[in-house]
Amino acid sequence: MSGLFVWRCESCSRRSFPRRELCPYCGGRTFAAERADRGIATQVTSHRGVGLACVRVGDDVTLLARVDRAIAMGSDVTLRDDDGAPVAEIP
Amino acid sequence: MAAAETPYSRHPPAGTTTTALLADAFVRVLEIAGIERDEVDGLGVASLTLAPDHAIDLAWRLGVRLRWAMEDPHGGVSALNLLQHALHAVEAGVATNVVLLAGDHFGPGDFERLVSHYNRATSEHLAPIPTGGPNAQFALLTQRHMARHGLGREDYAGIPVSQRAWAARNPGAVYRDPLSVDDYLAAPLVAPPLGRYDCVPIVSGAEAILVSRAPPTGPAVRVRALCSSFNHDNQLGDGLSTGLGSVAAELWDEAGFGPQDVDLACVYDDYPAMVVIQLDELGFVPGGEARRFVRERLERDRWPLNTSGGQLSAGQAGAAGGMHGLVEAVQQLLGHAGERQVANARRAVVTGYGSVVYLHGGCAAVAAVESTG
Repeated sequence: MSGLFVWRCESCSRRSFPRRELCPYCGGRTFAAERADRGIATQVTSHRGVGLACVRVGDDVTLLARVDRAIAMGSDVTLRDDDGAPVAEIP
Repeated sequence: MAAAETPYSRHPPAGTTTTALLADAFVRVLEIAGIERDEVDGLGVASLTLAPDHAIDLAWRLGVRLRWAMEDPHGGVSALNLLQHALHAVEAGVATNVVLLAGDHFGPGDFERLVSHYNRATSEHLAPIPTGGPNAQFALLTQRHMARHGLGREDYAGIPVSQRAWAARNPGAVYRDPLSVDDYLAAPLVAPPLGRYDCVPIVSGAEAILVSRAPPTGPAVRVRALCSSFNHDNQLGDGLSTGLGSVAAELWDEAGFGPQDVDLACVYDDYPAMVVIQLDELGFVPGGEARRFVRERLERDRWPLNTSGGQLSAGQAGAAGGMHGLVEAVQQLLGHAGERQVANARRAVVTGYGSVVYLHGGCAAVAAVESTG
């Protein structure tokens, strides 16, 4: 699977990740899966040989992603899914 | 209240079990309080490795007949959450003597399984990365804290360094050798910017608290106020607040005293940045100036913070970590803290923080406690 999916609330249009049962913003209960392709790596670290980044996607989603090739803090990244793991890469 | 702790062990002997550690803490607190097993009618437990057993199984192993039983799974706040409910139980007359236990023993592979399956969000979205436990999230959070306040690694050193100085006087702590700022900065990095001394050593051990309704005949400890916060930001914030800020005014108002009146603080120290954040939320950091607070209050004045050495030096025995500070505060207020006794300690504040939901902890709690008599 190549895309990373986030969840857009069908009531207020704001996105969440991971998926909630009720939208944290408006309490809506229905969501549409939506591909998230890009973000900004706001912080970067590594732990036990695994590169990690905190990635901001737009103004509503923050997620943790694996980083396989070093990226600088503040970089624009593309996102993909690797068997359940969000992965952030330099475009 | 009375309090007891089993010795903490980095490498526990073969045959150690969680249940046996909890039983050890149970027996110790009864001995200290001078009450018999048959006088116990309430039992609360927090443990990450007790499964598949529950409170009832533990009651059976301990041979206690109960009117009240409870368990709490919320990591670093489990002990204070149990305490809040135990206080309500004794005040309502449901129970007379409630023993609260917290402890863990991690066998081979147990800790890795725990951090990979801490909750469903972890299993589904973090374990596949793999993040390998909370060090990753708190490294990223600490970077945000540094950026927000203009701090460097050296600005956190005073927390583990001052706590290690307290641990030197605590025979129950697993790390007691002196630690310098240079040692702290030179230690291997675990997850930048976190180094070895920013992360808690995992140990086996257990803690116990007795909450009694009977008016104490001698010195006692009373809980003046206890406030909790759960899911305060829906994981939508930056993790640089815990929820304690939203309950601080209520806490001090109910307690009848304020931060300036506190003789010691036991602040949940999973990572140094979280200690600074919680102290700031509770009003202990003048002007929010973290660097100055650490330099002046901790490094220079040796203000009594985490006088057992805290989890950073004494160790984190799983869920016992949430009770460790409460046990230390009770021991200090009863004058039972031995070489590390804080002179004339009458008032303490104890916090809990934890249950990493996805990006950061979702739970926080704080108690203001006072000695009487």
